Amino acid sequence: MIALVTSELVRLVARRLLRVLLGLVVVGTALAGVLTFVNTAATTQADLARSSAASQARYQACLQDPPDVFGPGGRVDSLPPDMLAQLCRDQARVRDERFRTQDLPDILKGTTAPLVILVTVLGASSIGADWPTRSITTLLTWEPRRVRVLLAKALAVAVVGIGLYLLGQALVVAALGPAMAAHGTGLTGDGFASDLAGTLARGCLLTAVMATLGFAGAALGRSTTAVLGTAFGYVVVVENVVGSFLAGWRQWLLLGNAIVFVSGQDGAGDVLDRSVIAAGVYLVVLAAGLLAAAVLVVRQRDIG
Amino acid sequence: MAAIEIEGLRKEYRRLRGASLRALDGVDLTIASSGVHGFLGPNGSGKTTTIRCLLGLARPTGGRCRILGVDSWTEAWKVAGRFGALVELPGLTPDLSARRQLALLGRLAGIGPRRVEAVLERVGLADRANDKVRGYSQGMRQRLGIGVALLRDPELLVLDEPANGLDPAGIKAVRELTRSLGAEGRTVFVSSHILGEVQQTCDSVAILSRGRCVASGPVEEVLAAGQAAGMLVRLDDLDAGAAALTAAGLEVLRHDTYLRVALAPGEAATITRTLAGAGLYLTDLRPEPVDLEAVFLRLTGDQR
Repeated sequence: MIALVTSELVRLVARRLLRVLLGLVVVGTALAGVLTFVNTAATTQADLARSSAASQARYQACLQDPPDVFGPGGRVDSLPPDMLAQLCRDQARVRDERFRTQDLPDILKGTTAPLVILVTVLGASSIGADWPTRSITTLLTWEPRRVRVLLAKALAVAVVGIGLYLLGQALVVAALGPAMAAHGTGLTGDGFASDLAGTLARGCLLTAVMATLGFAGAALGRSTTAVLGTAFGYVVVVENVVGSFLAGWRQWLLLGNAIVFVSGQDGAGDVLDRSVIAAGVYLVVLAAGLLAAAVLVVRQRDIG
Repeated sequence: MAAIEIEGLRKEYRRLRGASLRALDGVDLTIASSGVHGFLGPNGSGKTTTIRCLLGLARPTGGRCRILGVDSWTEAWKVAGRFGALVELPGLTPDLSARRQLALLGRLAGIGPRRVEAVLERVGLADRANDKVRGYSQGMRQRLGIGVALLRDPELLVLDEPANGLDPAGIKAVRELTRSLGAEGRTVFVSSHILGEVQQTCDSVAILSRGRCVASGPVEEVLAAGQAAGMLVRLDDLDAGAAALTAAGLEVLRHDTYLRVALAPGEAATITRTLAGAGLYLTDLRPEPVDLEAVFLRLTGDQR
């Protein structure tokens, strides 16, 4: 089994698609890094102190003479005091163009989505391409035990998917490095490391889940294109329609659970009543179920 | 023990609309251990389906299929190390080189680089072994497919149309390879459309038509069983000879330089007696030459 998994890992890593996906990740992260660097700036403590004092003055002035935000005929002075205070805080906000290093875990949560999409494509293609090239036929004449072959392939694609995800996140951090070094706050706050580790760990698990779902779908459909098209249609139509009109059903949708899981916050993304752990368990069960179905079907199916 | 035992093998493909397609309709075939055995049949006769059932790639609808003593569908894994196969066009990973491809498969069976190099040499790919398969011609892919089948040094080789896509030199090389493999004491089961090759290479032959085995046995026996009841007659006056033989109740076909009389060689005296009685004298009388192609065409004539 180890030899089979290793062999599949080598086969996957050698694939041109992986290099294409890596290229996309490099270009995307490099672009994000440049844009972040351009849109942030270094600010000294003295500058911040001056800005803070000016902000305080603007805040007080706002309370004394509320701005005419409602236009002619508006009645700003009729606002409740707490709303007026909030309005003035917004008006007098200190402009801080530094890169907020403490936001890094949130940034990595955001970049998880495109990376997971790429890994899903990789998962689907890893076996989807085996049907037209008939390399599955050759492999099965060497190892006729189909369950072993499929499980080895699924494991390999999950491992490579996690590798791609971690590499992608490392590239994101590297791309943001110049902005962090030159324009960063340098403040990471309490729990920064655990938040970062949790984000990456959950991202790894979600990557493995999505790689498995893509793999299992393509094993069932015997086509990369068909499964990706179906997945796209499912997410855009079914998940959107059900999610929009049946709020109670959101906890059973793929996207809702993925959002809760990656965010690390119970009930995130308007998926109430769904905890992070429950979302993780649900996603794993979903992937395992589809993989089991794929194994059962391929086990009985004729191979061309 | 026979290398291959097929009894009453049936295979039907269900279709969404219309009646199911019966690809195999009770094939019976036994292939003895050692020697080269040909498997002939027109397109669509069920050769590849039989081979797929034999290798455990397709599930028989009925009947029994055993390879090296075990059931092909449920137990082929037990003898996977003892047979090698090439099914139609070889299924290869396009992004890997020939050497890498063989090394990866070899790893599954504990085969080292020395054997890989020997196989590359044997199939004539040593010079291009580091090139990716994506850039190979069909003939090169076919040779690599044969290399994959040979890698485990199998006692049984199942080759489905191994000469597909090969140029004359390649076809000759496959013929010599097949002969040498048979001479080494292996069992080679080879399907082919090139009847001359089969006749030159094989010890026995089986002919498939409409999903049934219509003839099988040593090549000489199949030729004898399918021998045409025809004699070729030459004489100075073909028209007079044809008239005399026809008047005697024989079926005669006039060609440019000879007559073909539908009569078994054992009854040749009828011809000489009839012609002599009409005052006509033979210049040549011989049985109609029969080759495998003639037998094949006669036996499968209703399917083509």
